[in-house]
Amino acid sequence: MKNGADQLDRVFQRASDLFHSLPVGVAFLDRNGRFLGGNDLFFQALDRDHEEVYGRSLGEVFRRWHAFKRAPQEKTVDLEALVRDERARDRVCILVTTQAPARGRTFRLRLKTLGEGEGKRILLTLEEETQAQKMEQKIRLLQMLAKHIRSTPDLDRLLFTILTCVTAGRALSFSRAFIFLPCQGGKNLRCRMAVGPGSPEEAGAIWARLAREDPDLDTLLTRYSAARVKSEAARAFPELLQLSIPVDSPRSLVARTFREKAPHWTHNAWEDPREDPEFVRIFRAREFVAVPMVAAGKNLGVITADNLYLDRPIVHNDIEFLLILAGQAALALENAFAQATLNSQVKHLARMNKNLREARSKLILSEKMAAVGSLAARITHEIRNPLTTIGGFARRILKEAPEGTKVRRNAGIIVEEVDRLEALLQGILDFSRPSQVRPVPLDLGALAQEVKVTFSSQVKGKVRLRVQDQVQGKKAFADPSHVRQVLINLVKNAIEAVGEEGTIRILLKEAGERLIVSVEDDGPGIPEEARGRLFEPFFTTKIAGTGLGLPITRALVEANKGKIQVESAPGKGTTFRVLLPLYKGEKEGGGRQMEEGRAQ
Amino acid sequence: MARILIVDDEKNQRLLYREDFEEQGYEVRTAENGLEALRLVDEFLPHLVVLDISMPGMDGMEALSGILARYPDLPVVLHTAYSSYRDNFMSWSAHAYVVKSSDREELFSTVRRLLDEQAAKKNQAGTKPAEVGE
Repeated sequence: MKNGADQLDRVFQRASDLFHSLPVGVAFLDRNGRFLGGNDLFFQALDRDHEEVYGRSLGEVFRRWHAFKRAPQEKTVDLEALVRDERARDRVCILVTTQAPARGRTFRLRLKTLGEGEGKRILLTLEEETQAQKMEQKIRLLQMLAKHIRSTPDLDRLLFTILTCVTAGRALSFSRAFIFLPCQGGKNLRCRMAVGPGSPEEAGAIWARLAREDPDLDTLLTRYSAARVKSEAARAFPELLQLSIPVDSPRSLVARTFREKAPHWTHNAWEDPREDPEFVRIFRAREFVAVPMVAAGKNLGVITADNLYLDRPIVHNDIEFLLILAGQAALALENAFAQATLNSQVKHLARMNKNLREARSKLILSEKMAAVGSLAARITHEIRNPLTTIGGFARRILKEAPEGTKVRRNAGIIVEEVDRLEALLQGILDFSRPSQVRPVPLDLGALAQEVKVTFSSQVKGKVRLRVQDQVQGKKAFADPSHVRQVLINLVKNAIEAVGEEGTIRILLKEAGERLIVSVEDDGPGIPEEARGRLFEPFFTTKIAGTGLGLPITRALVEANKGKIQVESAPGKGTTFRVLLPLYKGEKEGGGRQMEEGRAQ
Repeated sequence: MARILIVDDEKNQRLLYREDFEEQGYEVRTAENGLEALRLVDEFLPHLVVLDISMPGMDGMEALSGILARYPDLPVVLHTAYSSYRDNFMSWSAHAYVVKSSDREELFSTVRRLLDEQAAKKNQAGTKPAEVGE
């Protein structure tokens, strides 16, 4: 067996001239996958010499390379594992590529087992594939771009996607790229997005990281948020992003590209009469190319690309591909603009729809209120007059009848019932026509205490009523009689809600320009179906309710430029929150005096 | 003894207020509409008028302007079931505005206050009451 190996090795040695002149890279490995030798092309491809390779394993030699299987899906291959797998290694063809994307070369790597047993050798061939690989990558890049562009919702992200494709792919690897879009009604061009290193140090750091991680385009595109990218760009290119180039500027390649819808390429911008030295100072790249983004004959903007810090000239091939990419980008951009217009129109329509719906329900409510109003005005006064007489005489009887007589008791009952009716009528009137608002700086804490005292006879047993004042002397600007009525209504409801046992809390808080009075109870809560109708006139869940308490409350709050909100969950109690304007001192004090003057 | 003129179109209410005020020691006359009120103002020379607004014939607002045209200082209390007249410019020229209620305490106190104020004014003038328009 040993002889077999020797024989084979001798054959190789004898055929040495032949191997060295082969148009592919060839190397031999022993049966354990350790390098024995190779031809010139092989060492050239590796950029190594014989000494550095001899006796090393496949994995060690290709340590800085990216090895992958292309079909059906690109998949990284572990070369050590492959060389140990005797059955698989002769059948697969894999691609290896140098990891620095900028100068990437790609080879097709094949393994072939020769001989038997001890004399077994592995033949390795490397065929250069860079051009084909580049073309394929270009197509994949376009596919990827199309995919990302379709799923890119906002403009900044779209611009970032385009520029990342220009700079990050293996197919097209410019070091920096910028997008200029028209602004100010198309009079000027401005840099809207920038991708690339801001300094040589940064460039070194970025490329070292890319070589280490070798992220694919998907990863690059999803790694950062659009906002982050934008702020990075603003940090790296502060002056450039501030720059505004007039579209009709005679000395600007970007403007010229935009105007003429044709690409422009300068090898030395410093000496190019078509370029403004001030721009070159800011832009820094000596050689750059500008390509137009045109969709359906419409000028959308300009992409510039350069190889600053990369020390590599721009080649014609790259410009051709950049043009294709710019065309795709333009279509996507136009889509995005159309989408944005559509979105804003949809939003506008949705807002209008909402407003209309609100207006409609308000109208229905106000129609109801108007109906209540005119009905109230007619009936209330008709009832009020005789009621005054009935109650008036009953009071006289009450006064005249001796203590302890039935007449006195009966008169008392009439007086009580008339009082109740009068209060109801007053409620209807207040609701149909809230009386004039006379706002004054109002100490809500004192008012809440006053309301608490009013209810002291009803708050007994296991019912508690507490006032918590967290506004520290701040005042509301509202009509005291109205706010008092509002609190009385809400506390009354709360007392009814808690029944035999419970806690009611009047809480005063400050919130920006407003003071909030909340009346919270731990009663059974309001059922969901009732919650939406609480403020509708004549809607009531109470047996003896008029259905006017909360509508009046709301009318009073709104007449005082306030808002009322309700929060309730079955079993968790109810909170009514009244937001009133905060008193801010002298300015409104003047208004108050005027109001009072008018009221007299 | 102060003289009060009650103007109200409802008979029972006139009776109620007449008894109320007479019991409090005032001399009371009543009128059932604005026209009658204007006649009685001249004839009875009241110190104060309690004036309903909504009345058939001449209503309270018209009567009010008639009264004030002749006796600008005569206190008039608008006494009505409507709180809405409160915002009416005309009612601002009255001395007080009381919404009718079976509990007349507000009416009584308003009347007392206005009469006291008027008496104080006349004492200040230092002369015995002299009705304007005589």
